[in-house]
Amino acid sequence: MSHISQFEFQCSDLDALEKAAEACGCELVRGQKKYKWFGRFVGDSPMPKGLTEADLGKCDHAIRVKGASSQTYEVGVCKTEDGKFALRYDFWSGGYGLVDKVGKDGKKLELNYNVHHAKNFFEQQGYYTNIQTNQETGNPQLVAEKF
Amino acid sequence: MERITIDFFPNGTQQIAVDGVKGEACKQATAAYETTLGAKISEVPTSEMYEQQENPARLQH
Repeated sequence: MSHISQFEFQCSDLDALEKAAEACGCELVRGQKKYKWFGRFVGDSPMPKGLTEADLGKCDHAIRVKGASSQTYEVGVCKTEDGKFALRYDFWSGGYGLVDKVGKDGKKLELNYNVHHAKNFFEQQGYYTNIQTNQETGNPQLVAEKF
Repeated sequence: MERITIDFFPNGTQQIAVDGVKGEACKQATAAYETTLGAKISEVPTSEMYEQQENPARLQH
């Protein structure tokens, strides 16, 4: 079986993606040109928009689970025409441990990416930043201050 | 002091609050950041945004 999912969040900041991967127990491997998946598309799920079978398994960078078994699938980080990145993975059987780390539809990875992207952005604008937990919601919160 | 607080939610949305910036300038404080994100979900200026001198402004995205 092979089921390729493409994350929908826009990614343009590889440094933030690297930190987000670490927060999820994974690591970004820059320059890795193939990501681990079933290896063959069998057509039992929709092909992500804009892709062909030849695109599957190819990437510009990859995210892998730290300490994973040889069976665990990986996330492909694929450069798009607009210069940003799309993230793809084979979600069959939870990617054999991958989905537990990055979340369904990559939501855990997206949440951490958003936090670190914002941190990077505002630090570049001269703000002092601090990542904390919102005591009411339990969700991450970024405070950026400029004096 | 200018202070920007961003709350991140598991569904990918973000809520941004700006304090210490008066009136319309609070939009400018976050406009460049918003361009780096995907589609904007919503923006809800509160009445504080129109209080030009007395209170900080707050936006929700």
